[in-house]
Amino acid sequence: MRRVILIVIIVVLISTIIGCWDNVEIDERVYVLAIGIDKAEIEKSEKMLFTFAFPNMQLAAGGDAGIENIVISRLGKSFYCTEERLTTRVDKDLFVGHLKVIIIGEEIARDSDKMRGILDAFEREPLISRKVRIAIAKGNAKDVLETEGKTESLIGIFFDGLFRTRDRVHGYDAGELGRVLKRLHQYGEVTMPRITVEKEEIVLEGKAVFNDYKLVGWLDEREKQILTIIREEAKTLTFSIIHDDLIIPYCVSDVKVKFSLNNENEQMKIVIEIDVEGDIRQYQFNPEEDIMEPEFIKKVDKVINSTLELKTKKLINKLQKELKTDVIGVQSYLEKFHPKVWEKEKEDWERTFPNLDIEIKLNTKVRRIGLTR
Amino acid sequence: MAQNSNDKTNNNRMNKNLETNIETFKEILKDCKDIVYRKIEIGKDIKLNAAIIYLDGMIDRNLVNEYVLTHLMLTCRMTEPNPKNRKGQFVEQIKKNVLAVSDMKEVETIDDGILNILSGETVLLLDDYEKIIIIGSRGWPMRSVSEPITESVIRGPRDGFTETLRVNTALIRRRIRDSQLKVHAMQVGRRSRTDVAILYIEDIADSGLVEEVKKRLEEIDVEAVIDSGFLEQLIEDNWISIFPQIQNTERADVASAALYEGKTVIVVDNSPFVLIAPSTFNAMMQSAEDYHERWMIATVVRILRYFAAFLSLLFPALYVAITSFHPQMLPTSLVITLSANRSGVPFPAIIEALLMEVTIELLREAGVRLPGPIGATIGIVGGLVIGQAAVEAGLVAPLMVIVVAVTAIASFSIPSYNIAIAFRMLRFIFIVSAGFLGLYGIMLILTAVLVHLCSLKSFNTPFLSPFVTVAENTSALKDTIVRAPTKFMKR
Amino acid sequence: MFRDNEKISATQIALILTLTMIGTGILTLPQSLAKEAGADGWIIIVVGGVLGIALANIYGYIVKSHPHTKYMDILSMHLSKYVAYVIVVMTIIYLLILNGFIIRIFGEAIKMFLLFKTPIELIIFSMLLVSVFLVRKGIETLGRFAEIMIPIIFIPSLLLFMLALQNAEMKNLLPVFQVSIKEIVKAIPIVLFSFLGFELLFIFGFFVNKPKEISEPINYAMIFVILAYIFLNSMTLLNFGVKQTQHLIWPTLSLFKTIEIPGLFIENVEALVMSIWVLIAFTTIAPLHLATSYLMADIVGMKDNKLLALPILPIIYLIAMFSENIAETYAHLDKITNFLAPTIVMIIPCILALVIYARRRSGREGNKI
Repeated sequence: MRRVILIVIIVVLISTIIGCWDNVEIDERVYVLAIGIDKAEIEKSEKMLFTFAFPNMQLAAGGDAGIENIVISRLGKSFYCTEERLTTRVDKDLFVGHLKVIIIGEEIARDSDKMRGILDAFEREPLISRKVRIAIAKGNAKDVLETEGKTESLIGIFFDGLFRTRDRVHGYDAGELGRVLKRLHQYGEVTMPRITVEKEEIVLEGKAVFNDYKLVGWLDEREKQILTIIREEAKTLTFSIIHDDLIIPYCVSDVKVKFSLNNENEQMKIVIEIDVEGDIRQYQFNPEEDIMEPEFIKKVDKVINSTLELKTKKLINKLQKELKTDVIGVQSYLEKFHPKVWEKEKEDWERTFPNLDIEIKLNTKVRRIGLTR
Repeated sequence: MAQNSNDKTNNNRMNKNLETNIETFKEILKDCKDIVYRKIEIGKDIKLNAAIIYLDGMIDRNLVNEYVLTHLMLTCRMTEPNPKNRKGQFVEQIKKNVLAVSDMKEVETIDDGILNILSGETVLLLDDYEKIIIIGSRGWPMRSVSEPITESVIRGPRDGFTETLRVNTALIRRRIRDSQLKVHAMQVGRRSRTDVAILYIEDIADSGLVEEVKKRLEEIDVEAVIDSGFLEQLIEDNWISIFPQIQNTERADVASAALYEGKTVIVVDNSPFVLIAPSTFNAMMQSAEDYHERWMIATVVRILRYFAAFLSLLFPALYVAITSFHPQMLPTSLVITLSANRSGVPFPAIIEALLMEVTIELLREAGVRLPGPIGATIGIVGGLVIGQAAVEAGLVAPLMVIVVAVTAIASFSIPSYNIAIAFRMLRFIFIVSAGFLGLYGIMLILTAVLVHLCSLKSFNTPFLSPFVTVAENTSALKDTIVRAPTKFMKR
Repeated sequence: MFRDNEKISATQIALILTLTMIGTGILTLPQSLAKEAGADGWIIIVVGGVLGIALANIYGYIVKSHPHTKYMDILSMHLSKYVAYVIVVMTIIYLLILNGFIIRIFGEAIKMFLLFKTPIELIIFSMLLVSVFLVRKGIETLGRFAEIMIPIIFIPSLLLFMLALQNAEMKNLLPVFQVSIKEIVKAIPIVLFSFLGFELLFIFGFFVNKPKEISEPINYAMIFVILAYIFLNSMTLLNFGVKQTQHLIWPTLSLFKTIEIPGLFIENVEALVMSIWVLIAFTTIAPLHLATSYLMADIVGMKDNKLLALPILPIIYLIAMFSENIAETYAHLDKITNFLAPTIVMIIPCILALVIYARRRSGREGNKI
């Protein structure tokens, strides 16, 4: 008994002499909320331009609102080296545990090796949550980070809010690092949100398409919407349908997608059945027709159907021919439901996919039309 | 050993001669001015010499005057026996017919006589008679039965124990009118000769337990026992531990309930706190009120209490650990606010926490010493004012004050004062360990404390029952964190 | 014989064993299974588990037929004193090494998630100190401790896992039944590692107060562990899919990085999970430590094993610090699970059981004549 006490005392004494290693006061840390990665302007350099955005605490201590953002950029070969070198200029511990957003500049995104390095850096670090958002900037990430949001001054929080609103409205986890990494692990393909600066405002729209760990193309907002439908990730999306010179917004509320494989006559054919339900949100004030007639709705429905089908076909065409990337999930379907077929196809998928016969069967329904007839 | 006879060299027996005896008593009780010697003559014709000796202040004067002296001196004259009868019968007559007192016995040794005098009985010495007659005449100033200060409830009886053993046993007897309730008396302490009573219900309590309690009390060898708290430490299983293993209470209903559960109650003279053995952690977290209220309310309150116990133990330590080591756990906006509030504070969080805790302890101690309302006010006002001033002086962060205040409040909701103190001490250890190793430090120390609690036994009952004897005794779980509806509780 | 007066109930020993088993493989199981078997990991768990139940019952048989006899005594009764000595020494070495590596892995995980700059020596040392504390208290305390730990560990874990369902995709559990028999057999040692711990039944069986009753709780314990592992594996796969799971070193812990409790005080739950993880690890390390001290006391002939608790500490510590980094630790650990563990855990007990059975048989026949 006495021996144990003695040893405990010794241990405690020793640790008091040596000191505590991880004990850092909460106000002695700098909480990096957003990170940007760009190509260095210097020619033929291994280095990249890293931008760190964090709030300035000192000003906040004054008590008023208006916490200032500090945005610092440094050149460096890797994320962690740069982070460390930054401490030569910042007097506090850089802490990435509260990181909210990672923005990667377009040029870097097109570089497969650099991307793989960056992605691994973020996956390996235990402090970086898998719920961090990642987006690709059209242009420079630095420019994006240096723009202040209109409704919220703190950069990281503004971005975070931006992404979350998108989640809530459109219904899926846009650009979550965890999901992105997961998909990249599986097939090397993924889509990430696109972020741009337009007239001093930050805009989050569209998607960047990745194949083989690098950026291969863009989808705009319309195309992105269709993609979300095919991937069954949509919650509420609104399409403007044109019918009889009227613009009818159609708001999607539910989507069901079913893949099936048609393997007769040697040629592999994938059939994608999409069931879409939605509401009509606007027609015309004092219309001539009565909308509440089933006949009328059927007519509108047909128009909706054909419009959407056209869009879908266009998107698939673009994905197959132009971008040559399977982001709609055919690989996943084959691997899970037809493993034997996948075994044969997976080697050559790069070449098979662009020429794959994909048939779309779209089925739209109008469910609700609001308050008036 | 409960009783020790002081080895006086002269024999302990009485002499036949009254004067000699009186001298012996006076010799032993020299310089005790509060001992009174009253010589009387009994009888008209026989004229027996006698003396009563008593301790002034400890006797019921009325009883002695009216029922002893009056009868011995006056009434005896009127009913004198036939002069032909011998003296022996006269003594018998005095004992049986004259002394109209309800409690009378005889002893033979001087030591016994002295003990009885010192206990407040009246000693009657008769000439030519070798025995001492002891007349029960205890009556000293005592507190009336009132509500216990330390354990008040909103609903429930308000009679608390007093310092007189007989009153306390009576309060318990009233609630258990069962002949199986046994009262085993003994004396503890060489000089104090404090009366101690062990109460138990014979057919419910485990006989091994009762034997063990008796054994431990008999083995005590001290000079004096002033209060039951002292006794408690002498018979505990593990006196090193910071946790109490014997419960104490001032309330009669709690003691009676414990008896019904098969426990033993130890009543110590001069102490309003009775001991309950064995006891478990769970029992100490219960309040009498739990049984008087409805089951759902009682359950919620109990859960709240356990949560409060958890808070009072760990809250400051968690604050230190999370803000210094793992700020990633907090929501970002909170982190920014905290960080802004803390800039300018000179001390690291651990020193801050320790400082505030020490201050609270000082306030608490001070509050106990000050009389009544002032004490309570000082506690509240002092806490608020000092906390506010400290924040404004830039010495501590505002959140720290909140943490410490909540912790203090939480610790007051622990029913058992002993456990609350134990947690207070442990809190400091947790804060220090949090300062070194963050959450890991907290978990390690928590594990160590749990291990210690697991090893504690209170008179052969594991201290953490019924959590720990789940397999054998699952039904006991219905009285722990939840309080099952009265229908399901057999007792 | 003060120490040997301690008694634990049958339920308590089952709980101790459950807690010891969960803690060895819980961190890495999904990763190894995903690598070997894709989405069919649960099949391997079931197979391994059935094997485990069989073994546990063999142990139970051995313990039940020799109530209140120590491991060493049982061995020397049937296999001669020298063989018993050798086997016990081997078991001690096995327990020490296993404990050392487990505590190293545990320390690395803590360092990774909780205390980044603190030297791992201190992390390991402090954990070992608390373990010494428990070992000195003895097995009765351990039994009670296990009873308390079960709800404390499992209820929050269950809640947290439920929250992980947020990101679950049921499709990730496909494709099924892709593994071949050969692959299953190859993967069994992985699962075996996750069930290591029930061999302590031999050493603790001596203290059970009603040995006849141990079969039922032990079987329940094994089934519970199997189900827990299947649950864990499935949750990990549901969230991450096969490929990602293969890529993570500790998928279980990374799983908790994806949980978000909206509106709650805590943002990143990993630190909270690591706190529970400390408890899980402790309930694995301390029983191993205790068993080692009992066996050592038997070998040396000491009556009281309390004194050995502290001297064992430096041995475990050195073993823990032996490998250079985490890759080496796992490499060494693999070697053990492939050779030493099966010997101690499977082969020797089976031989012992056969010998006992044979003797009983012949004894009975002998009596008849």
